[in-house]
Amino acid sequence: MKIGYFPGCTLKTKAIGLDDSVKDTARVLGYELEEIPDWTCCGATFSLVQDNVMALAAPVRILANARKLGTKVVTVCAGCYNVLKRANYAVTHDREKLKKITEFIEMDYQGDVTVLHYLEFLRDEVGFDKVSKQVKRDLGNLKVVPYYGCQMLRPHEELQFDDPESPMMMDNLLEAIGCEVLDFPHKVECCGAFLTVCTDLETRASGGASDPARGAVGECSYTILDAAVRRGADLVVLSCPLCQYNLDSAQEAIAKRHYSFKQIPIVYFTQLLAVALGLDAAKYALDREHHYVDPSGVVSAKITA
Amino acid sequence: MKRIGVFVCWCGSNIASTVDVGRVVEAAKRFPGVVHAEDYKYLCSDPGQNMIQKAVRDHKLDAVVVSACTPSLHEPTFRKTVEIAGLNPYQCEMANIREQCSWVHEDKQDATDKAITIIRGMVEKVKRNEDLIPITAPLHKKALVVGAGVAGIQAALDIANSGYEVLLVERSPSIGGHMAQLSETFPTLDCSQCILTPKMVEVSRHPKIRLMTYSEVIDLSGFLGNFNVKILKKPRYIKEDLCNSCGECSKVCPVVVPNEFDEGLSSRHAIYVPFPQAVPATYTLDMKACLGLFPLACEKCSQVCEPKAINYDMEPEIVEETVGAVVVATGFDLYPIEDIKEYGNGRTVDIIDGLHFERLLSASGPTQGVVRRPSDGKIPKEVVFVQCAGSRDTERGKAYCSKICCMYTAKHAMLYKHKVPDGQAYVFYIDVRAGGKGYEEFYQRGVEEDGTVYLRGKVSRIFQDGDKVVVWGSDTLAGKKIEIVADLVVLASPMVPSEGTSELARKLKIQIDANGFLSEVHPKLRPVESITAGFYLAGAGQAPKDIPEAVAQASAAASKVVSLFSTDVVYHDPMIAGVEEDSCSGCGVCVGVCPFKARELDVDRKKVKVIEVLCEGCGACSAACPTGAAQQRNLTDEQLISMVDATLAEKLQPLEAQGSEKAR
Repeated sequence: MKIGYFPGCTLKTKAIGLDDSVKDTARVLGYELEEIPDWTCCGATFSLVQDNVMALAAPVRILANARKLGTKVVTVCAGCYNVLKRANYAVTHDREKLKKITEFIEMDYQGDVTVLHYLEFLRDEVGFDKVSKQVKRDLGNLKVVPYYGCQMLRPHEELQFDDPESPMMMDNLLEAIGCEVLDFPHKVECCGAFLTVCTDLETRASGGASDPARGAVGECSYTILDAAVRRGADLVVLSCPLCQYNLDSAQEAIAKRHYSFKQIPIVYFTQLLAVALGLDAAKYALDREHHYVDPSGVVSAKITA
Repeated sequence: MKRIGVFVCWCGSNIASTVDVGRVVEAAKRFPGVVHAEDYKYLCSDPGQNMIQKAVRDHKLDAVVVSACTPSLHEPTFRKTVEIAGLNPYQCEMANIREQCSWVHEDKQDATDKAITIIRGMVEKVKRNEDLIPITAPLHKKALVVGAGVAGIQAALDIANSGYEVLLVERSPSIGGHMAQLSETFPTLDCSQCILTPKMVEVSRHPKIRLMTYSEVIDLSGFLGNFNVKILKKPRYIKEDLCNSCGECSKVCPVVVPNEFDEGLSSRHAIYVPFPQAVPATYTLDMKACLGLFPLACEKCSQVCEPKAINYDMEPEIVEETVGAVVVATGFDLYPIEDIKEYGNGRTVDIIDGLHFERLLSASGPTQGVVRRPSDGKIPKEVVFVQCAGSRDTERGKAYCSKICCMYTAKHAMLYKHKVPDGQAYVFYIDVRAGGKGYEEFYQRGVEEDGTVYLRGKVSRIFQDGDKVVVWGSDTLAGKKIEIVADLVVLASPMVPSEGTSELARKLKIQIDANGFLSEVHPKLRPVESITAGFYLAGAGQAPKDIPEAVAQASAAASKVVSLFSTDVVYHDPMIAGVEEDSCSGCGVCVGVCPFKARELDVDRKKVKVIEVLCEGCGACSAACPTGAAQQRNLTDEQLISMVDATLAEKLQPLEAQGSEKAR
């Protein structure tokens, strides 16, 4: 069965493993994720300016293109999910806005596309029980903590994804594929988000790139990662490329500031899903090349073929 | 034609500063039918009323329009005034030129024109007013009190002590409510059970009180003074008169279930008494937990019961009674802390609510008053109290302030320190609301003598970490994030109406507010009466309140009942909708729309008849009636149309004039 799919820019560059694992796992489960035609960047962040309809043009255009393939579009990047779903909410709750935008982009769109996160797709369209039945590899030795971040959850009124304070959707999937899921109260704490691209004056003067450990990002990430390590987790599992970048790349600098800090690999839930479904782990960027903290050791040590 | 008098009130400057009263009087004098008009500074004053009475006599008035404030304030005053002067009180109407005119307008010219228009409409109405006399009905001088917590107990005792019969209904096996669960009470720290149990005993011994525990109101019909109530007496499987509370049955019972009285912190058997001082002092068999009935597999309790009080075949019983008034004292529950996901997600055992902590403090509690945390029984050395946990939160919890939490938290922290002298109590708060006699002093005592640390800020997250409970919060006075690694966390979650309040309200046909609390008629002036006549409110079912307030309100409700019972008949407003039989086609549309079940279709005669005492004069039937047979007294279609005509007359005239000008 074919279903519309919006990968987003990051999945074609930094998060290539996320893109491949989503498409391949869907295939194993009997679905063909078909990239929607002529897609562009979603805008990456949802504009907070209420009367700026310009910022909605790109996401609405994406939704209009998605409508050509059906009434559902799947996306997995937490940022894209946030932007597309909120844009859809904005225009379905304000028909005037919708009219203005569709006239501008010269496309017809009625607001009749449902934006699904891949987790929602797995739960509602496939069913976690069915996913569970397809598991080929035993992940029972793997202790994981799910990390949700903010983009999938907030604002709850618009996204209606899961409880914003205590989400369980990823926990339930990881349990369904056989992982040992640890209770993780830090699962919705902020990773530092876009502060990672801020460069303070000192760093800029020295000509260096942004140094996440200098400020908020490093400390935010440290709090989350340290809690995960202390709870005995082997991996932090997430869905957002920005969280992945922050939590992974900050670890070098964190180690310099916090001497007792123990590193922990950060992976996408779809990468684990691919492994569980019997796909070749090597194909999904679970390696040194795509991570600061290499997850391949943990994966090969803890997962029995 | 009726001789009508118009009286215009200045209301000091309330009306006179915006409305030209003199011009209004002059205009009113020219209205058809008006034979007298005058103004006065305060018509509601004694001289004002005397002036109206004198005018009624001197000018032989048949009807009166008082142009002043809203009828919801002074209509009774002026109706009484004209009655003394010899008129039927329903020949007096009020034209509201204050709330609906002077208070909401600024332009004197326009406001004066509007006042004239309002009065002209009312003059047209009063011209067609009939003389009415109030409807009377008999009064059954027996009260029903629903709920036997401290409020219900107090109301029942006060009514009974005034000499009237009371039927006190409680759904749980014992009376006493939440107050029986509490340890000590603020701000005096006297033992809750010690001050409550004498009242419980008094209820059980009172000759005028019929106590029905383990019983629920399942239906109620009728009206003020004449309610028919059906009460379901749930089977206790114990004959109350035979049980001597020896407790042998409970000792042999093999079933163990969580004890509700201890908020699940201890266990009880299937055959149990909720607490030692329970009233009535009889055991109850919880059939949901019992092994014995289907099939008769156990029977251990029956074998050891010496007085043979146990009867497995007891059936539910329905008791019907007639009462004249109902006091609703259904009390509260605490908002479930499991619903506050950021505070432990409902899975952390050492995060508890205020009632749990009361049981841990109570000498009769599961730990005999030693503060031990639920998970491992250790004595907690660091305890964090979180106020407004789920209240004062417009987005995810309850928007209102639960009112009592500041004080009980201050008390909790203080009692904890008394019991664990080397322990430390922290309180996160938004504001400390200690309004009440001796309350602020009590809170200060906790801070100064018992070293309670108050941190102003909200808590963002609470979670289990090893055997500790970690609390993340902020101290907004210091501008710092705070992490406290505690042993126990107590959440002051808000009071909510007790489970089943809305269902009961539906059965009783009384109103609840947006938060599910029972609604009073007027928040200031009629705070203990329900909007439906004959129902009175007491205790935390109406709004969050502490013991003194609940008791005060219960006594107030009781005094309302007693004053109702001091007469022999009930009077009902005669402004009801009747039936003009000649026009009634018997279609029955009005029967369906009547929210008070005041209308019945006589199938044989094909006419609708009205049970006058039930009609509240809402007008739903008048609007629905296709033939105009359902006419509300003194608000007939003819009156309404004449009022509209009179109101619009001046607006229409210039148009007509323009039209004729154009024609010319």
